[in-house]
Amino acid sequence: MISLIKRNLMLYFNNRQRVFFSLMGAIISFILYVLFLKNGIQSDWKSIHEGTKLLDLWLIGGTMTVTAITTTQNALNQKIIDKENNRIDDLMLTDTSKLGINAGYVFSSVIIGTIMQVAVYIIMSFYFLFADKLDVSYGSLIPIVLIAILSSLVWTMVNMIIDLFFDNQASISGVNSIVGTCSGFFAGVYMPLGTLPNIGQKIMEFIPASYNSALYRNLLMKNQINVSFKNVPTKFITSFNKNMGLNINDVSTIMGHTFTLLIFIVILTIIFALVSLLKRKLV
Amino acid sequence: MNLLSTNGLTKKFKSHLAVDHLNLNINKGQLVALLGHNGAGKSTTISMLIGLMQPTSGNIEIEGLKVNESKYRRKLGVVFQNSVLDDDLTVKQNMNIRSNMYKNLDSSFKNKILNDLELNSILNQKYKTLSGGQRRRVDIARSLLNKPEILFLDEPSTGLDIQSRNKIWSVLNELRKSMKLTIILTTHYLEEVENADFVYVIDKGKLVEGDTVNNLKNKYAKDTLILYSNHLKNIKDNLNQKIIEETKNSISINPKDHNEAINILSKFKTLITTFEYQRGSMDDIFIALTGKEVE
Repeated sequence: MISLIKRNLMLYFNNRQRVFFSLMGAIISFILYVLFLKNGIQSDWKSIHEGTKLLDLWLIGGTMTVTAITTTQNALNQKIIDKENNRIDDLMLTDTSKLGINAGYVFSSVIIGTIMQVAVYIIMSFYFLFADKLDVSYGSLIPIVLIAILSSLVWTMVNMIIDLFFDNQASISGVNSIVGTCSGFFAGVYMPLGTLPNIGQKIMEFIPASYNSALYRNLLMKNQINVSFKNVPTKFITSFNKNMGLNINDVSTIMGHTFTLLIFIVILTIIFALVSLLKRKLV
Repeated sequence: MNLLSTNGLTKKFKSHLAVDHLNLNINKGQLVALLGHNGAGKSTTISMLIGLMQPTSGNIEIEGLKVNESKYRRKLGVVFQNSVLDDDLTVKQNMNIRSNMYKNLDSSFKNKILNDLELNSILNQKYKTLSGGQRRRVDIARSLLNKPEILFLDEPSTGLDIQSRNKIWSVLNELRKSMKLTIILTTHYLEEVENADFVYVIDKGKLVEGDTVNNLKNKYAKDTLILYSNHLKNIKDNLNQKIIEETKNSISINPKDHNEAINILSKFKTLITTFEYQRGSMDDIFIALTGKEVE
């Protein structure tokens, strides 16, 4: 299995185009923000002390969620490519079991997702360090890595379920672009959660992306919120948190976003098992 | 000694019967050819024999081991029709990844294979940069990594030059001698079948014939004698044979065997300018059995 993971990592990282395209969602959200959205949202935030820095951190949090979605998806595409080219048949002939091979794809996806999220964090925080003098706190690097692992797990499971319905590269690349485009919305990068209509907000509550972004944003923005909202009434902070997607709903706020994502992993695993079981029966 | 056997092996896809009650018995050390035109069920049979496809009914055994046991898989080496190695990785990386996915692999054997197939000079080249012949040699090396007892070759020589084909067969023949490697081959190259110890001819999923090449030739392929002469009329008048083809200066006949051919030749020794004697070929057998030209 370790050998298969090594192989999948080599195939991903050796292919620069593939790395670039797997980051497309993140790159788009970053460029859209810097070129168009930043000024718009900023003008609403004029009254907030160091509002720009707060906004930068907010964007980093959302973009990392987008990265988790798209990179794990790209990593898992390897399985579809291998299936299509019968490479998986050759892997099956080895002493590694079917479970081991599947686990190999899952772990490669989690590793790729984690590395790419951390890489995106480092690149973006450096960009904003120079652009807006954002303080980069390396103390939060360990929790960031832990969240990156957790979100990679969540999105690996989501993408595993999606991939159950597709068996060739042509169709999966279509799915990739759809998910890539939607991920920015789901992660709440293009617009804050609070600006969505009620029905939209309700839908977001059933998708792990919003909790994922909330987890990142709470961690990254914590210090800056203390600075920016020093003498501001709690009521205002609560409404800011709600609007900007730092709090999704009461249930997740009480349970904690980490725990919410863990529950998502359990539910997704059950769905994956059920769908694959059903698929096997139908064949 | 019987190594692999199937009993009533059947595969049905919806209403289409791809493989129909196939009984195969393959002995250790043999080179066995599965012959059949495209769509005859060869590849489906191979997929079932290597455990990638579940048979609809019937069973497969290697020395008492069932097809889904890991010990069964351990005995197999497979060269797939299409290449199954990673284009973007080097030969060495491909080999290492596959060999690390086996437990307790004999690394000296791996080196021997790489050496015998003359791959050492291209170890650091990416697989996608190799020529067709080099790729096939790498594919064969991969299939032999686990020192298999049975090697499945699914159309291994398609599109290969004669040098690559000879190299591959010289290595395989050496392994047949040294470790009694059994080879099951599907091929379109009928000349490769000539070297087989046993041939199974499959048509529409059914076994039409299973025998040695010599027996098949005796049964289905006729030898041809072509006599060239300036006195064809004279020969024809005195020949008690059916003429199967005639040109301006030659006639072709099917003598019963070589003795009859010698008799005919000595009888007309003074009349003929020259002659040709052709043994019946696999092509004749194949066409006689399936009634179709090879696609």
